[in-house]
Amino acid sequence: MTGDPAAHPAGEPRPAVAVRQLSKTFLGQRALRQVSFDVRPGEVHALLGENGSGKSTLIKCLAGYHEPDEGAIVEIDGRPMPLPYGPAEATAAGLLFVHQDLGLIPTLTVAENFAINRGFDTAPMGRIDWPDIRRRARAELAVLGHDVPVDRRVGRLPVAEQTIVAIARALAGAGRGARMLVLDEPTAALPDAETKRLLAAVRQVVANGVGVVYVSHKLHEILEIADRATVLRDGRVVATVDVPGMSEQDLVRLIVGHDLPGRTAASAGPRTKGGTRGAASRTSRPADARTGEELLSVSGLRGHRLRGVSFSVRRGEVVGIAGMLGSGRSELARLLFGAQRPVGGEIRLRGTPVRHRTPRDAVRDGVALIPEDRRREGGFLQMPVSRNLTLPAIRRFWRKGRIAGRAERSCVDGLIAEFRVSPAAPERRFGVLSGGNQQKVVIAKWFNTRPDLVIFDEPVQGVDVGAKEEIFGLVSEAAGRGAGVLLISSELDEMLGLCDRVLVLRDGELVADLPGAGLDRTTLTRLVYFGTGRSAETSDSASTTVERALS
Amino acid sequence: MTAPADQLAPAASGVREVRSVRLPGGRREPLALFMARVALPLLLLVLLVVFSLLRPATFFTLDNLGTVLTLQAVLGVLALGLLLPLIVGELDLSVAANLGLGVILVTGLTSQQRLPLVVAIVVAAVVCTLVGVVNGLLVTKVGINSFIVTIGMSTVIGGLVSAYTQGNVFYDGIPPALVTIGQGRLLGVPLPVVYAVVLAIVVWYVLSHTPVGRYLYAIGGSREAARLSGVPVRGLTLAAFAGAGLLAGVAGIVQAGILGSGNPTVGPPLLLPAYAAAFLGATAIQPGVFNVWGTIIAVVTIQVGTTGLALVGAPFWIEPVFTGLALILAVATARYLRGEAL
Repeated sequence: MTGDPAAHPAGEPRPAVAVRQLSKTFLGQRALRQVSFDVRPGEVHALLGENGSGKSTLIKCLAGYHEPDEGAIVEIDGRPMPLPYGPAEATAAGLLFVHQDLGLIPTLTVAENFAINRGFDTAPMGRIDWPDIRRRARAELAVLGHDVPVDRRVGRLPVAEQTIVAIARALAGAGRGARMLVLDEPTAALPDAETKRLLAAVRQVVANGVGVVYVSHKLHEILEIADRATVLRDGRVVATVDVPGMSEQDLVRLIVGHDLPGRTAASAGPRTKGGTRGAASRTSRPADARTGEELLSVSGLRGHRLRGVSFSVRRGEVVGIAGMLGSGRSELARLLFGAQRPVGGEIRLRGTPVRHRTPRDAVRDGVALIPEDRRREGGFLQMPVSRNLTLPAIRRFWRKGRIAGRAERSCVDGLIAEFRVSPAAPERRFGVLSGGNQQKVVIAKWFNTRPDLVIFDEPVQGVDVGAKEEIFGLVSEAAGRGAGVLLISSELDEMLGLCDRVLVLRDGELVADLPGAGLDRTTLTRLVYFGTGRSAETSDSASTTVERALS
Repeated sequence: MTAPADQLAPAASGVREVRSVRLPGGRREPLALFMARVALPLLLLVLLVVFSLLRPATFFTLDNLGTVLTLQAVLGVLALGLLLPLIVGELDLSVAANLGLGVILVTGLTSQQRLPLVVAIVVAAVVCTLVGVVNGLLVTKVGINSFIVTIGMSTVIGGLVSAYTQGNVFYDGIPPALVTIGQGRLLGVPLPVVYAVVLAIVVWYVLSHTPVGRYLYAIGGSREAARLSGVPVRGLTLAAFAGAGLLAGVAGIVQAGILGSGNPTVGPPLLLPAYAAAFLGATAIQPGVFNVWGTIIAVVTIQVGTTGLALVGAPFWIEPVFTGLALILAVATARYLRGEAL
């Protein structure tokens, strides 16, 4: 638990963990390129980057879940780890990971959660030694300066305390002493007050000489707690910088990249890679989105997170919705689709006020939702692709007292060909398709209902690059068919290229409603992170640090 | 239980394409899947041939066939009802008790309350359906696990049946028409077999040829994905329980006719055989999916096996052993053929 004295020679501190030339290729797709960074004992090292920049792949490589490409080096206290290694070896070597899903069992007590990891201590005759288990759990929590009630069920604790339990448990489980603790978005689900307690616990961890790798999108936290930061973009390390003295704006510039401020939607150019379909439909949109009739109008919409949101969408218009996790963007989708009841406000569709009590009502009203969680909510893993495709529109094949098999089959074949689902095997189970093809099936199934309003919630999450282009092509095709489109996405670049307008949600409120054309990436990122597009004054010293780091 | 159907039934697997067979109609499918599909029907065929050869004078006679099928017609109808909750990913452990309730109502109301047979039949069917509706409401509206709801319901029904019968069996005053319903023949075919076949066709039609069937399977596949696809999940789950109740009631009425008496103990022992038939059936015809014809073939196979064993002089205890082993072996074989472990 305490730092190994050998790790602190005179002069330059020897890193607790050093990574050199780590690359990772998935099916010919480079996810990480020659990543090198190190974590010193007793520092908080932030790992920054946008979604898809390679952070989680890097973490998974370090945790032993992915095997890095040939040539990578991982050193612990200067000693190279034999590669590849598995999760158990990572833990034994002192590489510890606490993921967003904490891995605790909510129905067991805190003490039991510790014991289940380590093995139950037994007294004579094989009886479980409960006093000892409680005592050890208390001692392990005390290391973090915390006094969590060890007999409480974990599920009843506030999330911050659960996270602290998970951290303490990880530290307790380290084989030859913890060297590096990776915290993946530990505060994503935390309110501000609880965040403070968690950060205090993190400080305690580093005080014990462990290096902490801290992943978070909340930049003010990074500024508060991190000593250094490594920024990833497109699978490469862009920079490793000292955090003290930097501002949030400096960090955003690093994350987004210095070459982007000049880039706008207009200059993003047509997309041709991965299918001409996207490019073609983008340019062949019949009506100007500005002149289409108003399809959806939302006023004062409130839910659990949304606090009075108003906007409207025209036919043929693609409206992007940007916002961080927890900003209320997915709730907006669920409210419009009848999957959740609004607390207040009004939704009008084609000018008429609607109250969708269930998704069924919304589907009948011509609304379609391509949900974020494709495998759980988008499709039926065990059912054939054909059944997935025709489910929402099955009544159309109901003729003469039975489902017209031939008509259904030709519809399925048509959809598979049109949406280029591969393999073109209608009887293949949905669950065995790749992420991109699953998503094409989900989109095809909804397009087949001929919806007026299509809501895409993170349509390209976990989808490879080629399919991504095709799916974005389908987004604009929906608009080309005269539907109104809402596109919720974290991929801001793509969003800029596609959207006629972009709405920015932050903490349940609409902070911006901007035309897509002329909107630049930096402004959008600032809006998402801070709720204001103006660049605040940047301290000179810090901005030169950034320039140096970038060059 | 809210476990999805793929946990209850052996799930179809991602079949690796190795050798394939051509089906009538020109479609090809992997050999292993085809084998899994026909394994149970083949077993039935083998049993028929073997027992016919061993006991040519008794086994393969129309009389014996009629007996064999009549015995299992009630179980078949019960299993058909059970399929509905299983398909939407719920368990109904009250079907057998509900069948017992149907037996007691139709015999009791006619013999004790002197109600006309038609009225008694309607009341029995309605009450058994209502039992299913209550199950369904508790599962969908109150949100209780179906395993618990239906265990509770089963116990309650058992108690109420005891209260009504006071532990007696109703022998006297059973209308002859009821006995005809259970023991009559149509063109030489025992009526219970006719009912089972007709109901199997109805349930098969609903499941395979109507949007409602698609929705039911979709709910079993993923409740949330079904809801977000516009499927009325709650209403159809409720309907599945109601259907199970109705079919249990029908099975009870037929059982009463076959026995010609109202015995409160006939229901509950049918519970496990009904589940065995449904699960065994899910290994055949449409492997990995609860389906009507697989279930019917399973019911017949088990009965042919046990009757045949009795005819060749196997001891009485062979029957449950055979049933249990057939279930376990069939599921294991289906898994092995499709190359997926549990």
